[in-house]
Amino acid sequence: MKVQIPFIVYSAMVVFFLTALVLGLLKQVRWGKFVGFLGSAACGAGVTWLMFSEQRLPLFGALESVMYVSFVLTLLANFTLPRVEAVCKQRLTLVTHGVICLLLAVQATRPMAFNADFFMYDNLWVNLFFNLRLNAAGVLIWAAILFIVGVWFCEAKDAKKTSGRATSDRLIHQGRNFLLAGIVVYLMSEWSGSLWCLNWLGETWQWSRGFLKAAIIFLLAMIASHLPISMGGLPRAKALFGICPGIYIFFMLFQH
Amino acid sequence: MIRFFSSLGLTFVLLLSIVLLLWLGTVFTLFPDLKQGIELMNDTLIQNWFMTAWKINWILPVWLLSLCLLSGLLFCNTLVCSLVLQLVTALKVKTLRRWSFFMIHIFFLMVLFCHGIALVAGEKKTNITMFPGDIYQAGKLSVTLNSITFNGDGEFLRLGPKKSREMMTRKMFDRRANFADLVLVEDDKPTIRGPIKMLEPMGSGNLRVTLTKFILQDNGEGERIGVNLTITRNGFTTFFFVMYGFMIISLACFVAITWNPHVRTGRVTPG
Repeated sequence: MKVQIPFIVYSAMVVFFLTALVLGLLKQVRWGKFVGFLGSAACGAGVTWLMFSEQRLPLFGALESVMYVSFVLTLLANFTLPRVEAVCKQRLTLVTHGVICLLLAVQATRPMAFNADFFMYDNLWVNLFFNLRLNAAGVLIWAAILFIVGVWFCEAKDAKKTSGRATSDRLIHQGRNFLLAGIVVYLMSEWSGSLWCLNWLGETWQWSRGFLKAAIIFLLAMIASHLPISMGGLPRAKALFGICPGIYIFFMLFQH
Repeated sequence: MIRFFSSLGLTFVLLLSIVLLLWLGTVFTLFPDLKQGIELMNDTLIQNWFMTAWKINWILPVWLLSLCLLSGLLFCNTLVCSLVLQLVTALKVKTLRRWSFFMIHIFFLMVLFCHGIALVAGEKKTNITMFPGDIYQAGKLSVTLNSITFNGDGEFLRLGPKKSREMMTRKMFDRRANFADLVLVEDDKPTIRGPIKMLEPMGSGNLRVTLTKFILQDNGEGERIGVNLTITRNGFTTFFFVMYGFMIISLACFVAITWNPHVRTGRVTPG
């Protein structure tokens, strides 16, 4: 029974988010939003089931990462939408559903079970390290979505109108806000991880594949925040570098 | 020269280069020999590792040297930019935005410094295997292992790392119920005695003894359980965590202040 429930939740997520994506493409906005909400509820149910059955927070492992990150993404997409015109909100919802479908597609070939229990999961710093990293992944991917839609608006014919350009600027600024907010959460995770490493191995950090990849995420966000003046004014350049941390952490979720 | 070292262009190039080097490092970990070489970097101070590694394979030492060089340049770039541009602007404009922006960079410098110093300074002794009754001597420090309390049959200690990890669940292995009784004696300092558990190290001042794992050894007369210890000494650990914490706080403040570009940030009035 315990093994089957994650699969049921995964299947429900696939059905709801795929339907929401198709409805969004067909411009059935209200229905798309409603079905997307059902998908969000399915993610929430999966996360609640995980916490209830495993007696811990979602930490890592493809399935629980996909469920939790999708849940965070849908929450961000529903509650932190910038004040922009309706068509822009529709595109944000559409891209969010597309990204979740992509997450679910990558998960399709992986085991449909939660991460096996481990004796260290009773430690606060271990929980904070892994769970905050998943939260950071959600925020960084949301930042990437804002950048993508921002450039989409800038490139589209809507941009010729003054409001189109203003919307694009607003989205790119929001993307920058969530990129930095994501890095704050990510650094909190790394801080907890350092404390875990110190208590386990005697040092605040260790040379490993995980450490190198973790450092890359932080540096990618730093690059996006330190563009040379010649690039800083170009929305495309800002978006290109701004989406990198989100894309990198997206694939990191599946390679633990 | 100062203009060059404080330029944003240099920051951009350095960050990109460091990312490429780190990515190269992740590629190295796909090759067993290089992966082992990278892991060996954790066992000793980096200068000691460097001399040994140079004789075996030049790839990793050159990679590390490039990484350190670029990180050093980034440190200089951040320092010069912070003092010459950001501090001057913060003093002139006096807004919370400018000051938090300046402080993020100062705390980042401190964190980078602590990362660097952890590589070369202090003491590091890893993989110290001890059994009850053993005494480990390192200079003026003496570690005595009086006893080990281990509940269960330790079946999972016989398995390989992957299988062992699967079996070491919270039910199978209670880390609070399994511990070693240690005595630390260091020259003129007071003796420290107590249980050491996984994730709950013991030590005094800058000295830290951590229990990394329990081991099982067959010495011919039967199996016995021992522990694997790591002894480290780093005077910057607390400083590192404080600076790291302040870096996060200052970054969070900066994000909050600049969240809405249309709202003017409050000026810091002198006095």
